[in-house]
Amino acid sequence: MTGHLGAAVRVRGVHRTFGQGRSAVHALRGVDLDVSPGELVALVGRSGSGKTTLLNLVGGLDRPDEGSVLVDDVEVATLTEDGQDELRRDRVAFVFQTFGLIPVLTAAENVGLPLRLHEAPSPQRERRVELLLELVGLSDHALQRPDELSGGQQQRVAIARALAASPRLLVADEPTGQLDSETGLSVMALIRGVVEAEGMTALVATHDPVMIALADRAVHLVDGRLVEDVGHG
Amino acid sequence: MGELVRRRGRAQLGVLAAVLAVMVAGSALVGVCVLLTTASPQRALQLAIVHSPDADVQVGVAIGFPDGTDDTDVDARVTATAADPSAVVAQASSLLTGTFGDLPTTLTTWSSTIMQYLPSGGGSLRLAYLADLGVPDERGNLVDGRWPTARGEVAVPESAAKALGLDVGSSTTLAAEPGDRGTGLAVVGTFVPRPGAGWDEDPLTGAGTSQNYRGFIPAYGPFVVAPGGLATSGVPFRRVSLQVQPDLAGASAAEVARAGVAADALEGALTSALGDRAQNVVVDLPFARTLDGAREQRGVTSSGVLAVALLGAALAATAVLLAARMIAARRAPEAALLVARGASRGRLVAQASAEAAVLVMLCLVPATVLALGLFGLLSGAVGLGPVGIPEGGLAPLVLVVTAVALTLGALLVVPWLRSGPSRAGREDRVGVVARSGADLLLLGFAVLAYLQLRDHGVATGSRADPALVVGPVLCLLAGAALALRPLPLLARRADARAAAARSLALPLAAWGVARRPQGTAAAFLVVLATACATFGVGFAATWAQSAREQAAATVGTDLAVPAHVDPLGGGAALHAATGGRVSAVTSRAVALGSRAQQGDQAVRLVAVDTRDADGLLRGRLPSGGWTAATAGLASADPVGGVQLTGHSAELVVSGHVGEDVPMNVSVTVVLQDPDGARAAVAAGTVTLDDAPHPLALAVPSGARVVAIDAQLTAAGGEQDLDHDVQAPYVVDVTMRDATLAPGTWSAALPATTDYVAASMESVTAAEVASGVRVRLEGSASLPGLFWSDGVLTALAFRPVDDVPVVVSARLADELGLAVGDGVQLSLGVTPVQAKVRGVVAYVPSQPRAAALLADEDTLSRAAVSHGSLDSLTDAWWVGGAIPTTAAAALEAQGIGPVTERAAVAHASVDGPLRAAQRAAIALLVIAALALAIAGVVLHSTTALDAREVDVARLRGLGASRRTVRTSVLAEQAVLTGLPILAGALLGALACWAVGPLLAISAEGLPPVPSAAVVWPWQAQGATILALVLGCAVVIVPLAARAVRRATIGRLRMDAA
Repeated sequence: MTGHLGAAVRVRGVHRTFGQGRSAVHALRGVDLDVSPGELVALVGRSGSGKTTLLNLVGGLDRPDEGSVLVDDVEVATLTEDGQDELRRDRVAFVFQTFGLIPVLTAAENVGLPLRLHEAPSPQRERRVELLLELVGLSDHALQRPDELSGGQQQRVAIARALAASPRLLVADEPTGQLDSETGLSVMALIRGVVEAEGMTALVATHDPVMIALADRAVHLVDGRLVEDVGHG
Repeated sequence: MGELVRRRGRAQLGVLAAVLAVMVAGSALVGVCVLLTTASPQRALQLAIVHSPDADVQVGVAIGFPDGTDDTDVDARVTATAADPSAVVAQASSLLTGTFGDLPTTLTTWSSTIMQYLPSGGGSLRLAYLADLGVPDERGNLVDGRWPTARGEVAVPESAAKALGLDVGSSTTLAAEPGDRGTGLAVVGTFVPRPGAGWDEDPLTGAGTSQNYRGFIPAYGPFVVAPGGLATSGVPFRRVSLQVQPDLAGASAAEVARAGVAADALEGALTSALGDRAQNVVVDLPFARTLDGAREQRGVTSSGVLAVALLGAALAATAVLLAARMIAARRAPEAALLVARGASRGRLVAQASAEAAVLVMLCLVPATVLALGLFGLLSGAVGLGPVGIPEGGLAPLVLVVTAVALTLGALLVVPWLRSGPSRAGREDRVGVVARSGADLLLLGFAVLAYLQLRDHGVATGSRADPALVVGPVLCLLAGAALALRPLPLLARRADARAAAARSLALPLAAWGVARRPQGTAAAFLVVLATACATFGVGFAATWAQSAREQAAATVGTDLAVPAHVDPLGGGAALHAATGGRVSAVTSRAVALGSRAQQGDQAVRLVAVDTRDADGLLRGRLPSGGWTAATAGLASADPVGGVQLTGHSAELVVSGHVGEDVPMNVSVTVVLQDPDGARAAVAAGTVTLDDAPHPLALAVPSGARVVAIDAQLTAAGGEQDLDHDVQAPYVVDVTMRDATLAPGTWSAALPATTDYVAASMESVTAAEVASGVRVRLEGSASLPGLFWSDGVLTALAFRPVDDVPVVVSARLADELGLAVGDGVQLSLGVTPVQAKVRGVVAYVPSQPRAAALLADEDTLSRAAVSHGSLDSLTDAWWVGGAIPTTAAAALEAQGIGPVTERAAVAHASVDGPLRAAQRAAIALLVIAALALAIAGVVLHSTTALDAREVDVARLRGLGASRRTVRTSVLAEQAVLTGLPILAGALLGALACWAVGPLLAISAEGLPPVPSAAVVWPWQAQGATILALVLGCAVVIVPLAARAVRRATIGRLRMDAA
């Protein structure tokens, strides 16, 4: 909740409600959050606390009912659809709990998707994909499809894909939620490593204590409110 | 379990409704085809019979007796019946009229006696006979006097009266033996036979005279007696013909069917009832033949309709299988959950079966109602309506609909019978091998079916032909299976190219096509449906064109009428009514060398004016036109002659004979009318006594004398001469008010093998003050002239010895004929040498016969050159654009029956017996389009539903809506467009390879000429455009919906 000049992410007074009337669900109720460049922030909270909603707002997948969301000083809430697409293409990358890979594509092809969106020349794209797969330790699995990879491997591919277009902000929604603890730990370490190596900002929704421990900072969402800033080790 | 099925059904109502719609459509399509092969043939048969020409629905019998009464080998009962045939006539009449049950009928009779002798008057023997024409007014037109009403009175054909010197008021006798007193006959009338009034029953076929009856003796007749007067004439009967004409205007289908059964048994009944009291009994059953022809057409039509039913069933089965796979894929998670909780595979199958059973039950009533509705609609559209509930009731329809629905329902269960789930995206090896094996098996069957169709000679009669039913279905199914084979190869190439591309949209589409094999079933359906539709459109056009070409080859020209007994002037009326190009035509069976067969084996001679054959002859040749094919048949030599003026000609005959030998001459002139028809007209008999003898004869306007036949007979008695004499003679025939046409006069070719009683040494023609005189000079041999007439023929053209002809391929094959070969054909008793100038696929009007085609003028010249004066004009043909009212106008004038090529073609293509086939093909095209679109709906709905998560993921990566939409649409366009293209190509290939083999004739025979493929580009374009638009209407909104729904919500669901 502390304000930072030149924040990579600045969220102010954001409200988001789904539905209307009695069945209305108030996912976020006046959230304020700043994330500094290069910072890895863990977003902690129970299921339904509003973590995914906040990540979607930051990533331009959703719009707040009220308040503002700035990413690299760009007001995400007022972006047009094309602007949102551009934001996700150029500045923000997502890692989902369910990996979000395209099942008919190989690992390499999945990693190359963001580069194709930038219409990068084929040789340049292939070099980058190779590099990223090596970074996540999957050089030998480039031609395998998602259903031929383990959960941890799939999430590594998803992380490599997220890094492909060199985004400024990495948004990860429960990236270890479907992984066993050992695999989850390696994925967390990978995220920590690439954030530091690539110098990017990361906002990671999780309730895994290990991930929280790896984060620079952890913020806690309860019933749509950011109630405390949890210290980190 | 029931509750689960019910709830799940409610949740997936849309898909199940689509499946139900496919089941209803498939069942109804087969149901309609069954109605078209069971109910409509009865109605079609009824319509075909009711609308047949009168001559085609008659039944008749000719009862023959011996030529003479002194043959001891003849049974006494036959002799007794010949004297009084009233009992057998009554019995035969009863059997004939009984054929038609309670339907009104008209019985006509034609009776004639054996030949009797006319008074010879010292000349050669001459025969004549009596006849009872029943109602004489219907058989002939009186020229003078009246019809006989009392015993001893006769009416004589005008031509016979002239030849015999008889007139109203004169009398003659007929005797059983030459020189007997015989029975006296008073001539009370002269008449000309009425065209088409049954004169083929007459021994002289209405000509009135024949110089060579049975090849050796002059005969005249019939001498028509008063109705019923033959029995009291005392002359034995030679032949009694009975014909029954039914009035079928109000006949029901059942009455026609009953009459058909009776007609089938009639020949046996008549033969057994009359056979022992007559020398021969010839039963003529045009009604039975028409019925058999109609049944054959029905069989051919049924084959086509059942093939459509099979194709429709295959399409529906494919669509249902596709739906079943889609449903199974959609329920795979649910099935996995149930299995994980202990449910057996049997339970899953039972659930699917229960759901399928409900769908089958729901399908039955709407499918039956839809089939009946479509049947009524189609029957009305093709001219078979109004059609109510079939006579056999609804049971067959309900049974078939139920069977089809059950089969389709069973297919819904098939995916649940697999022992384990297949891995999405990669087909297991066993499946690939099984599919390849099935494809190979199907291909093998298709090759066998194709070979069977190619070698297929004759259809199996009135029932559907298995080869015609199964052949096209197997070929299309195998073709559709094979057409899918290149698609993965293409997809793999696209996949490889996609890897190197920079952008996302199209490579993503290529990957989708290459790596999502779930589209195979949908692609198979679209290929098969498109192939069925385009093949249906192409085959319908090919078949219709072939039917039109067969009609053209069968008629031979645009309009044909049989010639009058007196053909002269007939062409003028035709030209006036039609404005077309008119030709006199010879069309008859001839003996060729030693080959003199009857029926289908007979050699047919057709002679027409070949100077502008393309303007007259119809029927497609494999290459070139008729003008080229008949080049060289027409003679280049001109025909001279004597041009007459007005409608009557006055001849003056004079002459003398040396050695004071009394001699008569009978003069006959061969007239040619302006349309080229030639006929011999007897002018009369005069004595060669140096005195001029005027003779008058009626001639058509513009007639020309092209030959003069003078028959010398010795007057007086043989006993007057005690030594051989060569008596020189001169015969002058002067035609008043005539002009001489340029040309050469010459004598006819001598009959080298016969004894010559008189020879002609010179013939000259010159214009004289009164007109034109033709002088014949030569010598006659006596006493030979007492035994044999001296026949002299002067020709206004060079004698023709060889007649150039083209022969049909069948005749060339059968006799081994080649260009340059000579053959001798017999025109009656006149031999004519023919020389083969070419071989054609067939001869117009005789498409299946062993036949010769000659030039009418050349043939006529050759016949006259050999002394044959018999008319060669059997028919008239007219070529050109015939007004639609011409046929009716001609028939109103008593000219007919008229055969129009356009009408025959219309009956072949649009007639009631072929209507069901057209209806079925139209139904197939519509059903194929509908089922293809239904398949696309099923596939696209499921596929795009499944793609929504992927689309949402791509959107999450920053792909724009446009990029994603382009990718999805491109993928669907390829998945649908390539099969449509492959299907269209398959349809074209099937049309080219199989279409002509299926376009068999109405009789179930290979068509003549061979069917040529017709590919109607416009109709095909419209069909494919309709399919593409139909698919686009489905796919574009579904793709848009998939992109629209790929929102945060979808990502959240994915995350959940």
